[in-house]
Amino acid sequence: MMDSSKSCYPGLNRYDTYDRVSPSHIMTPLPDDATVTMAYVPFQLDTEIYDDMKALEEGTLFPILNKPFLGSGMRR
Amino acid sequence: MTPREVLMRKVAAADFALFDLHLYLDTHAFDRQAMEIFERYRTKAEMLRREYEESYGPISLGTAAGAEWLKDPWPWDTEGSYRNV
Repeated sequence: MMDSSKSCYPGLNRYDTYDRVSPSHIMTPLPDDATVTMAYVPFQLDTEIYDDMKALEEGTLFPILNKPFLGSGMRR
Repeated sequence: MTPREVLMRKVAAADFALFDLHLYLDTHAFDRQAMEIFERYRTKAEMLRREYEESYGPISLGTAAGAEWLKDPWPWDTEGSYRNV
């Protein structure tokens, strides 16, 4: 038996590739077994996308990753 | 924008969407829906590229037949640089 906890995706067996429809059913932004003092990047679950012309303008296909960083908070 | 520039922008947009999906699939290989969208953009990018190349010549060496790139004018031959190629 394959131990699914060995996969880099919690709840996902490494042989599950393409067998699942959507990550949001099984994924969480952070692993269940997150350990202390280690840094984690929250996993992207939102898969909404722009159309391609808008994506080229914004610099990303994914609205959830569109962070313009205008820096207005620091300006005088 | 000229029709040529509009078409080149469409090629760039489809290529960009394809590449961003490629990056997403690096970490979400199990996402079947994203894989389908990836395939759709691959087809779209190919079609747009072909459409552009039929009208305006090769975009890259890989699709260049013969010595297309030697044809005048070269980018520095025209005022306004690349805009008139």
